Amino acid sequence: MTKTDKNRIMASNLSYAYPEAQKFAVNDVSMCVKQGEFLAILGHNGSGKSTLAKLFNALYVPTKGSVWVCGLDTKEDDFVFDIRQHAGMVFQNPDNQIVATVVEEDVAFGLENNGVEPAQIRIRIKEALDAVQMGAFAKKAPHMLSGGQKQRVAIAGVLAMKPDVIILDESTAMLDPSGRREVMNTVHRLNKEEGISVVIITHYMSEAATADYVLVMDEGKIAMSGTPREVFTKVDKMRKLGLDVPPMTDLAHMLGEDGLNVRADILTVEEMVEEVCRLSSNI
Amino acid sequence: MSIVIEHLNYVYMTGGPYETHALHDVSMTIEDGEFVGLIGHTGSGKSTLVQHLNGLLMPSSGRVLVDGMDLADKETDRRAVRCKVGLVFQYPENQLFEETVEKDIAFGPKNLGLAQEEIDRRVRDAMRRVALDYDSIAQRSVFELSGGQMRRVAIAGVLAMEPRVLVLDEPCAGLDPRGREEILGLISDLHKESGTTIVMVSHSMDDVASLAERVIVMNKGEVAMDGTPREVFARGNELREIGLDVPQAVELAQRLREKGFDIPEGVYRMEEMREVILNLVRKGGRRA
Repeated sequence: MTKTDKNRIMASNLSYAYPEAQKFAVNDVSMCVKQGEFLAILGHNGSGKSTLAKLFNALYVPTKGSVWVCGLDTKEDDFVFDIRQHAGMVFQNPDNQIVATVVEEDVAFGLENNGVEPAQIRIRIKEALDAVQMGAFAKKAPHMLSGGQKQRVAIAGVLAMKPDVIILDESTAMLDPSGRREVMNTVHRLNKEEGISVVIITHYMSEAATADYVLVMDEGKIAMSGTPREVFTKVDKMRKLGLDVPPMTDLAHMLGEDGLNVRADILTVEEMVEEVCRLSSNI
Repeated sequence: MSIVIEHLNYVYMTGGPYETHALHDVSMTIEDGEFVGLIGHTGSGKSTLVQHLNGLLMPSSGRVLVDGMDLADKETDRRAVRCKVGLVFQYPENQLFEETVEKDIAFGPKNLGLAQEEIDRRVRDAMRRVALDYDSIAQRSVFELSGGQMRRVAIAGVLAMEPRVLVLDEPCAGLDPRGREEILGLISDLHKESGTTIVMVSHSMDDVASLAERVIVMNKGEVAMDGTPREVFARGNELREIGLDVPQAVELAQRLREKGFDIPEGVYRMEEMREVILNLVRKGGRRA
């Protein structure tokens, strides 16, 4: 029960079946999220990745196996509120998770429910909104904000609880490119500067490419895992799992098929530029 | 059948504290059989524009002619126009409501008062076009389907109206890569096989680059650019200035040019970059 090691989330032989379902949505998964780690979970629809995320903060309770969040077993009812304070979740639809009519009141929601002192609440709201660069919007009405701004308010609501882990379940799926950038920059900054562990569930390979570590889910199991470079290099396997690879990795793969001696683990435009420079000067 | 837009202006909440001038003097003609990619960041006016294409919004000033009919004219049969111009909204699966897939797709044709035989034909045809198997899926509840399938049912509902022009607002939003590929594939097939005019609103420059024949860029309620993908994506810096991305192939081409490589102007597709790099490396073509 102690905050033993540096694992923020640990899953051991974790399985979950929805009521009356024949199959396990998550099937015998063992993994961990370390302190300060930025983890991306990929997988096509129905692969079990969102179910896994919901097991991380006790929205679902394991059918078999266990999940510990900062050492707390999610099967214990008494820990539910503690667990949700340690592991905060941001969902997909910005309009479904804002509850108040004023931005700062929305951020205050969780704190008030936890009985935090009013003076302390004010401090935490300010810190949380500043951290997502929404301080100037504290008195605004959420419905006047853009999607990216709403998601940042939702993240502030989670941050105000001083979590150890933030889980984003496709939180950028409904945003435009600039909204997506806002949210990704925000979570990366929180990860680097505050040391908060981050788990993102995403369909955007470019987002996963910025993670420390990637898990690929398929049929409820972990089908692949490794650094983004290790995972995306396996272009054919990713395709077979119904996933893309970043465009530059794909280009490197095609050039490899054409017989060029290209590094297979290219992720970014800069790396491709370097590689083309290297290849063309070798001749 | 063309859509002609002349000096279109649209103002939301006229006279109120949140009055917004969403479209400024927009003029364009969408020709029969074109595949237009409509891009612009959120708030650029692109969704407001597409809602004018079948009369969901009426111009504050200016006019919209669909197949020669002025939508603001009281004599115009708007219902007939909506049959010609089908609009697929963002997250269209949120609008599914019937008990079965078949009933949902049949809803529009039924309201047209068509004979049952014709309705059946249209439902089957629409399902075929979105690659949903009639025998196994038609009688199922729409809510048992996957997200990608639900979206295809919603698109089939619009196709069953047999529109000449199909307008899709962010048709791939929120789908996984496989679902995205399926939707893009069926849109491309519709365009190629039946010559349906397509107007696709998208945030994905790579999707637009791979499919569209013409790209219209909206910014602050105005048409900022209008041309072939080659012409528009060659203006990468301007696109970035108005907050848009460029396709990754364009970005790569630009960076390589900065390094002194001789990259042809107007390259915008990954396949083209593949050829270009192959040639460069084989020739050792740096600073050629």
